[in-house]
Parts: sequence; C-alpha cells; structure tokens
Amino acid sequence: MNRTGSLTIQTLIAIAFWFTWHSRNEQDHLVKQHSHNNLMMKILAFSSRIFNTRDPKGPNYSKTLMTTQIKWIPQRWILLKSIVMALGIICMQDLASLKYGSLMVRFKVRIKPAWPTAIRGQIEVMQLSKVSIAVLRTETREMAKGSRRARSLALFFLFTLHLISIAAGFQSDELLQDDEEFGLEGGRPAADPELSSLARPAIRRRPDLDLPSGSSDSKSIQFSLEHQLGSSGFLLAGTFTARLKSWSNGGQTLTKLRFSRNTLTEEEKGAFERLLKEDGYYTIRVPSNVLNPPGKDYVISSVRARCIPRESLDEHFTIHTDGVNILAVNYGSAGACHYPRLLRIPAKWSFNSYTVLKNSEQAPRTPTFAEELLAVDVGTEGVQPPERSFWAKYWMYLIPLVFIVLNAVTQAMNMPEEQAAGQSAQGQQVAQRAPSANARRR
Amino acid sequence: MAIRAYLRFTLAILLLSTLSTALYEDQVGLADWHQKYIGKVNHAVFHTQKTGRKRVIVSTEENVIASLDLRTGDIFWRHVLGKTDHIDQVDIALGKYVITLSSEGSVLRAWNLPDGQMIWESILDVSAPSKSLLYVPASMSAGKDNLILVSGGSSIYALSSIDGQIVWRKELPINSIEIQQISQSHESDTIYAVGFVGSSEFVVYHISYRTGEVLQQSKSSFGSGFCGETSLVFDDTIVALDGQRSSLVAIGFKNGIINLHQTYISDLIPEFSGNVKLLPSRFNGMLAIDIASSIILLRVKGINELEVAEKINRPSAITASLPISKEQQAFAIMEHSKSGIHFKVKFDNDLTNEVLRETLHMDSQRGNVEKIFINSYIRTDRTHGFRVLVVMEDHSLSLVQQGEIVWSREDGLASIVSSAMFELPVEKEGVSVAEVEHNLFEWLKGHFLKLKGTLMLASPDEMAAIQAIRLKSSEKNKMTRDHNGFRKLIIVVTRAGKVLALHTGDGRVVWSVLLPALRRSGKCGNPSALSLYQWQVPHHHAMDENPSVLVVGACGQNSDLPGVLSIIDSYTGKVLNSSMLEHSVRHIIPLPLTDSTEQRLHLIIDGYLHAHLYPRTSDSVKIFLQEMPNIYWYMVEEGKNIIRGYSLESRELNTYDEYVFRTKQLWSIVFPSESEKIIATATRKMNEVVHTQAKVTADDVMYKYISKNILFVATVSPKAAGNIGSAAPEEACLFAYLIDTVSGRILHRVSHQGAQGPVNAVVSENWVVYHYFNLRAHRYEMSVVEIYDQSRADNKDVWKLVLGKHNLTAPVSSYTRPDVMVKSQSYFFTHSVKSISVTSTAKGITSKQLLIGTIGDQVLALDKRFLDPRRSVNPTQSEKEEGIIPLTDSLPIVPQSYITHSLQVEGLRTIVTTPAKLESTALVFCYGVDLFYTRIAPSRTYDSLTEDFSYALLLLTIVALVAAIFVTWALSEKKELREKWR
Repeated sequence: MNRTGSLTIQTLIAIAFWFTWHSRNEQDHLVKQHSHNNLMMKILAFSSRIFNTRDPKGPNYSKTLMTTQIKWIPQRWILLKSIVMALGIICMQDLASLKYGSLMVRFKVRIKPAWPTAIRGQIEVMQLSKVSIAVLRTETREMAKGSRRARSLALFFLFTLHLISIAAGFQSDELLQDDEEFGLEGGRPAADPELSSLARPAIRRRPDLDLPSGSSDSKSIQFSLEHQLGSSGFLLAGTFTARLKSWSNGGQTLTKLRFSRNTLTEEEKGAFERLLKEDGYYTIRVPSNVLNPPGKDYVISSVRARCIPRESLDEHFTIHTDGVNILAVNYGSAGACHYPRLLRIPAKWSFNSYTVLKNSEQAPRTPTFAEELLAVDVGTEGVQPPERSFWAKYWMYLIPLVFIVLNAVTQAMNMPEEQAAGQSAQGQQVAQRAPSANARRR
Repeated sequence: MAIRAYLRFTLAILLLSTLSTALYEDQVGLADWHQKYIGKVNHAVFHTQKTGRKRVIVSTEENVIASLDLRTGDIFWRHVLGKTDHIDQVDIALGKYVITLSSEGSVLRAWNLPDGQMIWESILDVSAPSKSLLYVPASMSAGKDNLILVSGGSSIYALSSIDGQIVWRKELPINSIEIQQISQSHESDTIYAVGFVGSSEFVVYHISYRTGEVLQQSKSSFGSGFCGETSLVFDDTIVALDGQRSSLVAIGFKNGIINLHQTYISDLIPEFSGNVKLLPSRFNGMLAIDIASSIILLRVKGINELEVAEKINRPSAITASLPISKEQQAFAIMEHSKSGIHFKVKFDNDLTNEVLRETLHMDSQRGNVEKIFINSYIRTDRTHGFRVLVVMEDHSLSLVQQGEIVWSREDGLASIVSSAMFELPVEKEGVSVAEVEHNLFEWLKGHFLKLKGTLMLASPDEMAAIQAIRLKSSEKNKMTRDHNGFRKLIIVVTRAGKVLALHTGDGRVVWSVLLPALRRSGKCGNPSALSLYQWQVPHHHAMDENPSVLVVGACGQNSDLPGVLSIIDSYTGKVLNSSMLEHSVRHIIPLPLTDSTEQRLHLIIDGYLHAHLYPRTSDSVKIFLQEMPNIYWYMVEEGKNIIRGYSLESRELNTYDEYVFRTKQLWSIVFPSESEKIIATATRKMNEVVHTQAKVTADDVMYKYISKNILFVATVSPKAAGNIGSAAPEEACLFAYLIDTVSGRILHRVSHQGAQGPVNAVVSENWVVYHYFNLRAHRYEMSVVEIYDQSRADNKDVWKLVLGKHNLTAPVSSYTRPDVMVKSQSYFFTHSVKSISVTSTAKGITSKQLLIGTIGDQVLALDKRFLDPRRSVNPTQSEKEEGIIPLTDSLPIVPQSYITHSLQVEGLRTIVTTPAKLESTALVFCYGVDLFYTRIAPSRTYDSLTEDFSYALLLLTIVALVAAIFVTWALSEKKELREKWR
C-alpha cells in the first residue's frame, strides 16, 4: 500500500468524465459511440443529483448485495460495453425509478500490484428503504502513477457505475424477494443447511464499511410470542427482539430480528405430549403491530404438533412485515412434514428456532419497447425474403433457359462456334452477377 | 408510422394464421344462442300518438331503458345505463322524446322515441343525494315552450325539452327543504312546489312557470311531524302520512293559505293495525294506501273529510289513474283469487261500476302480481279498450288484453344470481336417433345440398335451405344426453328466487319453479337467493334417481337472519325438499364427499362460526367424521381486512346436535388498515382437472405447484381504493398475494407501485392472471404469476423416474415448508375488464384460453400463451418450437377472437365455463342482463370432425374408388385374356 486516495463522487466522476471524453478523441476504441456518451452524461447528471439530495441525518445501514471480482481482460471490456449498450434503455428507466425505489451505492476497488492485467473490484450495493445516497470510496495504490492507468481506472469506474445501475435496477427486485435480515437464536445457528442455503452465498457483510450506525432513529423493540397448547388460553412463549429503523421519509422497518424462547414448563410439556398424541394443533400468535401491541388483532398461525419434533423441537418462523405491521406469521417445522404424521416424542424438550423476516417484493416492470426500433428490424426482415428468393428459387430454371435461348439464337443466326461461346460466357457472367448485386442491396 | 402499421398488419396475419378460432358468417347461431332481457320493470310509459302507440317505454331495476313492441313484446331498442346510474323516473316529452332522470336526479337524458338515439343529456348539479322528481307538464297550451321540471333537494330546474338547456334554476331559500311534490295550477302559469323542512314543517312555494320566480311562499308546521310520504290529491291538496304512520294529514294550500287536518287511520278502518304506506299514484280526489292485508282507496271530499271508497284484498295491485276524458279517469285493479286473477277497470268517479272485468289464468310459478301499468286504446267499435302491463313476482313481464296474455317475457333472467350445468337424462332404449333424420332420402338430400354448398355450386335459395337445415337440426335440442356432452341443462337461480333450467341447444326454458322458500312471507321478510350447488349427481350408486340441485338462500342481508334450503329435481323441476334453517348462512362449503346415495356433503357456517352438516343423516356424519381432521376452511373479512383460517373440532362440547361442529381458528393474516385494503380475491375452481404436473421446456423440467388451496388476494392502499384518478401514482400501490388456505402461508407477495384497482383475477392450475390499472403508464395491465415447486425439481433424471426413486407420488402436505419459484410478467391490455374466466376441459389437455369480458360487453378469448412469463424478446429456436411468442409490451386483441362475434351480452357480469365430454371443447355461458351461450375449442376441434364435414363427398369418393377398382380389374382381366390368346 503505497498510497491511498479517497475521493468524493463529484471529483471522481468529473475526472472520469474528462478522461473518457478525451480518450474518445485520442485513441480509445471503447468509447466510440455518441449515444454511449450521452448515456454516460445522463448517468453522471443523475448521480450528482442523487448526491445533492443527500440527507445528512439519514441513517446509513448498509447491506452488501453483490461482491464480485472483475478481472482486467481487454475482451471483457468489450463485452461489458455491449451489455451496457443493450440495457441502456432499461438502465435509464431503472435509474429514473430510483427516485422512488431508493438505493445506496458504494463500491470499492482495490488494485493489486499486478494491475492492469488483473484488477480486483469489489462492488457493494446497499439497499435502504427510502434514502438515496451514493458514496464512492476508492482505495488505489497507484492513483498517481500515470495518466494512462488513471484513465483506465476512471473508465473502470464508469463501467462499474453502469453495472451498478443495471445491477441495482434488477437487484432491487431480487433483494426484496429474499429475506432482508436473518436472526438466528437458540440452538445451532450454523448447523441448518436449509437456512444457509437461503442466504445468498455471494453476500458478505462488511460491518467495517458501515457508516456510523449509532444514529438515534434506530431503536430496539420487543414483542412477545404466545402459544396455545390444546384448548387452554394463550401463554407467553418467547420474545422477539428487533431493531426498528425510521427513515427520513417517515417509513419504519424492522430488521435484525432475534428470538429467544422460554423453556417449556412441566405443565406445558405434558400439554404438548397430549397434543402429539391426539394430532392436535399447536398455535402461536404475535401482535399485528409491534409498536402498540396487539395492534388491530393478533396474527395467528398453527401447525400440527406432530410436525415439530425431530431430535429436539424444530420450528421455523417466517414473519411477513410491512413497516411496523406484521401481516402474517408462517409457522411450521424446519423441515418437511409428510402426510401420514407419525407420533414421535422428542428426545430433547427444547426448541430450535429459525426466524426469517420477509418484506414485499416489487413486481417486474412491464416491458416497454421502442416500437420504432423493433418495427425497423422486423420490417426489413419482412421485406427481404421475396427480394432474395426470386433468384434463389428460379436459378435452376433460368440458367437452362438462358442456354436454350442462346442455343436457339446461335442456331438461328447460324453463327460461328467461337462467337457463340463468347456470348454465352458473357451471359453467364451477367447471370451470376445478379445475385451478388441483390445481396449488396440488402 | 407506415412501418408500424405494416408491423401490425404482419402481426395480425401471423396471429390469424396460427390462432384464429373465428366463425364463418353462416356458422353464427349453430352452436351459440343469445337472449336479450331487460330486468324487472319499475316504470312504464305508454304513448298514444302515431307510431308510438304500438310501443311501451319501460325502465328497469337493471338500469335498462327499453322500447318494447306492444304486440309481440320484442325489444325495439334498449340502453343499459351504468351500474350506478339508477333510473329514477321516465316520461315522454313533446311526443317524441323519452326523458329519463337517473343517478339520483343528477342526469337527465332525452332519447328519440322511434330509434332510441340520445338527443341530449344534461348534468344537473344536485348537492346531496335526495329524493328527486321529474315533472313533465302534460297539457300546456300550444305556443309555449315545453319545460321539464326537475327537483332535487332544495333546487328546482326547468329545462327546455327541445335541447336540454337549463332555462331557469331556482335555489329555494330554505336549504334543508325536501321537495315532495310539484303540481301545476289549472288557471295560471304557476307551479306549486311542496316540501318539508325538517320533519314537522310544511312549505309551499308558488313559482312562476316561465321565469322561476317565487311568487308566494307559505309555511305551516305540524306537531307530530311527517314521515315523508305524500300523495297529491288535487292540484292544491296533498295528503301526507304523519311521523308515527298512524294518521293521515290532509293539507290544502289554495291561494297561499295552508289548512291542515289530521285523520286517524284507525277511525277510517277499524281493523287497522301495523304498518301503512302511501301508494304513489295520481288520482283525482283519491288516494291509495297500503296496509298489510289490503289496499284501501280513500276519497277526499274536502280537507276535513276522508272516506273509504274501496277495499281490495291482498295479494293485488293497482295502477295509477289514466285520464280518459276531461272528467273521467280510469284505473285498473288486479286481484288474486282461487279461480285465477281478476282484472277490473273502473272509472274514478264511479267506483261501483266495473267498466271491464276479466279473469286470467296465469302460470302459478310466476307468483303474485307486483305491479301493473294501464293503457287504453280505441276498439273497432269506438269504445275504450284497456290493456295492462303486468310485472309478476318472478320479475316476468306480460301484456294482458281482452282477458288474454298477449305475450310474456321471462325478465327475471336478467338478474341471475348463480348458475350450474347439469347433465340431461341418458337416452332410453327405443328412442332412436333415426327419428330425427326422417329417412335415407332426406338425409342424402341434406348432405347433397351441403356438398353443393361446399363446392360453391348452390344458388342463394339453396344456401338458405342449407342454413335452415343447420339451424333446425333438432339433434342439438333433444332432451337426452349426447355423446359429446354438448347437450346440458343450465340451471340458474334469479334474484326473484326463481329457478329455471335452460337447454344448451337453443336456450329455451325447460322448466321453471318459483321457490316457495324464497317467497316473501311473515317469517322471512326479504329473502334472497345466495347460490346454487350440485346436491346429488348419481353415477355409481342410486342410478335410478334424478340428479338434484341445492339452492341456498337467506332471509335478508343481515348475517343473523335464518337461511333457507331447497332441493330441486334437476330433470323435472320438482321441489323435493324445502326448509327454513334455524341458523344463519354465512358461508357454504361444498365438500368433495358424497354419501351412499351420492348426495354431496355441504357445510354451512353460521354467524356464530358453527359448522352445520347437510344432509342431516347418520350416514353422512359417519363419512364426515372420518375426513374431518383434513377439512379446513377460511373466511375473507373484507370490511376488517383480515383473512382467517379455521379447522373443525369434534363435537364433544356440542352434544345437543350431532350435525353441528365447532370451529377453531388456526391462522390469520391481518392487513394493516392504514396501508392495505382487500379489493379482490380469487380461487381455483373446485373441479378443475390438471393433466400434466410438469412443464417440459427445451432443456429443463419445471414442476407446477398445483394446490387446490391457493387463494389469490389483491389489496390496494386505502387512498387508491376509489376510482381511477382519485390517487396519485406515488400513493397508490397494489399488493398481490398467493396464500395457502390450509396453513395460512403467504407463498408469494408482490407489490405493484403506482397501480390500483379494480382488480379482476382468475386462478387456474399453477398460475394466476390479474388485471389492474397502472397509473404511471396510464394503461390497464395484466400480470401473470406462475408458481413452480422447487422441492420436486430434481426429479429430472429419466432413470430415477424409471426406477421409482422420485418423490412425485409422495403425498404433499401443506405443513411442509414449500420451496417455490415464482415467475411473473406484466403486459399492457387495452380494455377495462368486467370479468375474467378461463376455459376448462374434461381432461385438462387442451391449451387454455382466458375469457375476458370487456367493457363493450363482449367476450374475448385470449390464449394463455400470450400471458406466459417466459416470453422473451428473442426466443431461441427451441423456445420457438415450444410455442413461445416473442415478447411484446401489450396483449393483442384480435377481432376474430371475440367468442360473442358481433353480439353484445349487455351488462355482462359472469362467464362460466364447463367442460364438455369432448376434450377439445368447453361450454361457455355468459350472463348479465343478456344471456349468451356458445361452445369453444381453444385448440380447435382436433378430436372430432366438424359439423359441416361432407359425409356425402366421402361416400361418393369411396363409391367412385370402388367402381374404379372394379372397372380397372375388368379391363386388366380382359387385357390379360387377350394377351394369353395372342
């Protein structure tokens, strides 16, 4: 680490833009097309706009979405560029939607000594619910080592910016589908293979990169889980702990859900065993509003008691939330529960609890096409075939016809042999040139 | 632009070539039928001049305004106004315009009497919804501009009847006035507006007809208040009912002096008790009041003197008066008696003499007379003749003249509540098909004609004959089951409580029955039919019994009023069982279980969430108890925004009745009321058949997540729950849920930012399609969500399948955490949608079509392939072979794919599809105000020959071939012989 430079987005983007602009004039084959430049200008303008609307009070919880390694291979640049071009329109639309969707972008590039043959980039996209901040932090070691390298670096940034905006457009859909936060408590958190498969392997959490997270608008809240064994009333069974984050626009979300189960009393054990014997329902409930429980009503979920016991009692909570409201709790066994449910008394009367918090997923946008583009494509395709096919279809008739005509002509005129041959050769040439002319016209 | 047009053209050609299921012109009416109705008539206006005298203008509860032919009952023209545009009053102005006042007095329209074209429309600014009045001054002397007076709340409008322009508008100075009556003085250009202020004050305004100026105003108050019902007796006298509905108050307001006089009804009618109503009728010097047991005509001899003129026993009906001459007015009475219905016409100045007395015999299944409208005509002997339009209890409409029913219309069919399709009886031996085809010669002749038709040799006359043969082909109208399963009975229940069976062949009514349980009675004040279920479908056991249908109703909207059950034989329409339940009906669950007599088990959930099992036999309880642990049900509480799931508990605590079970709440989903509001739900059809579990793509197999317990729920943010445009895109959001109704698990939740309702959805197999409005794009959109089961996704290896090492046959439990993958895609769609349905076929092999009821009351068949989430801009070769259509942003609407072709099913509400026995074909029944039935083949009739297949041509070819074989054989023999001789 010779030197580490940290630049703000404006300066960096300005540099990047300057370099890109100039490199176009000089020699760079990457940035040839005008439209590409326009696109970049738009992106730049947009990102600076985002930056200007930064809310200083805004909390800065972040989440790594994507960590990738990008190798510096010249061919891949071209590939990347083509992706950027192809998705240009969509990219722009998604950027436009960022206003509503909101996104925090942070990416970090660490340049290895072997640069430029290999460049390691690490891109982190942070999803916040309603704040739009873009932060670009770089760690370069050879920032000042030469204009060429710096230019390439700047270009790299531009492309990563493109990539991120693309990735953000698509990723925002993906992200919400998956669980925003996992909280594992009780038992063996790492042992469950299913749960770890739920987590995206590519995600790596980097708490060191978090902007100061001790801001005042995140608070810890608790709400209780109650259960019902048989026909008795609901009894306290455990406590959920979560962090409630408030955003500058007034929205609130729950994250970092943790759960602690109370141990079963002897009485409850007896009731549970009775439930197991009669294949009854084990019912749980949580308040529908965590701030002022029980809110509108309790959210209830049940499972056949026989689904729960394995070695110990394995349970799985999926909590669907919408801000501070809990829509539904899906409670069930951690694994499968096959139909002829067999009576199985657990060896250990303790719960292994897995909890997942789920938020809403955004619907994919309706595809909108630049109809003209499509029309031109299809239109030319539609026109071409008849043009080509005439010769393609009838050449086998035409050539003999030409021969026959020529033969007839020569016989009729009673000409010498050589002249006739010359004429026929000429005719053939003409006949053969025709398709190529057609082809060129395409 | 040109290129785009070209693209559209090529696309259209492409679609036509691949998908067209359109009809040829001469195929219209072969398999489909269309019936036009108008609904229960509220108002009728006769016209006596010129061509108008053959017509009657009616307005109905279904918001239809129609002109009917008095001779035949056919519709000359009709207009179906919007769902919320209720018609308040109808009248005729200038002798050529039909004037309608609708939407609580805020819209006034004029329609041309001969052809029904709208002449003008005026929107009136009515502050609050209130009682509105339309008054068309009838006999204004010539030379005056005819004004139409409309009052609503405290304002009176006068509009020109020629162009609908507002001539004057008078806002009465007292704001809270409710104008009750408008009348006109004989002598001067003054109109009287009579109204109440609050409940006890009475106000009369004298207003100039020409300018709207208030000439005089007088007020008076009455101690015990008014209930709001009034009847105009003379131009300057009204009779009102007081606040307790126990006395009549006669009010005279001649020359601005108000006289009040109260008369107790019990003084007039000693046996009176209970409720009293004033009948809205304009009599000269008389009024009609309705007490529970009879209708009483009272004559007003002066303010202080009322006397009973006539008493008519219930059930009966009375018309308004019809002026015959200057002094005389006629009115008609219809009275039920044991011998039939008596129809009497009297003049109002002489009640003892009956001008006309006739006795009618009407079908007992039409119930009592509800309303009658009188009209007079000049007989050939220059005397007055009378005819009446009769609205019966089953909402049917008839015209009675000269003691006969001239025509009747089954207009109850405009308000179908629920429908089901039933099989016809099996063909008995001895009834042969050959009866239909008279003889071989006729048969050959028919086919020869058809052959000529297909070879384009037929003359126009012959073409007509072919068409007639086709339409007549009584094959389709027989009362027996056919091989293809096309002939069925559509059993419907109407809002009036009448059950009718329609034949799918031509739509005729096979039988009809007005359910006694759903008729108004003392115990059941306001009964309404809820739904119709298949009660007994004998196939294995009890083959000799006829199938039967269960109709469930309730005594009113309130959830604690008792319900009613009726069981009807579906072949004959005989009511087998009819009972009043002791409990209310909140939810009906047909179970997939039948008892030993093939009666289907039904659970009825009452208001206290107790489940009642029907049929109440020990056999059914035994069967039910075995399956009880696996029975779950759910309820969507739309008002509270909660969905709850329940199971049933054994009846230990409920020993008093062995058919009653307790329910236990298992799960609940609570939507936060500040951000979500339930607007639509949809489930899969109970009897849907899925043929393949897996979807095989070019390089992959995807297993469909097929569960009968999928519930689709759509919620919107409360701000966006109103009409389109009431919310900004930022504050509108639509959430779509897929919920497993056994465990209450949310399988999928997706939000559409900037979208709002109304949402129409259909669920089938493993997908759901829903339609909503996108505020950002200002267009309607349709989204498809397909759900696949990932837990079975690794069963791709053929060897695994062969060796049986797969989990495909393992029972699927809702308690297992599902591992699902969801694919979705949205497309723009041009139309707004009234109803969506999906075709269903016998085995589920045939590809599916969505049937979309468009805003134009037509039904569009759209291939499900267009709503495939796997569509991409450039499908690969293998995807193309699979039939994936290149991605477009909007769904195509091909005019040829309207299954209603040129017809409109006015007021379309529901589309029902039922599979035929023939796999390729589905039967479609659409109803609203009109009925439409057709059968469609989404992938064409690949499993049968078309109806116009020329068997004669086939026969001829075979004969010719056989002949040729013999000829050539003979020739070759001859030749061979000759060669041998050589």
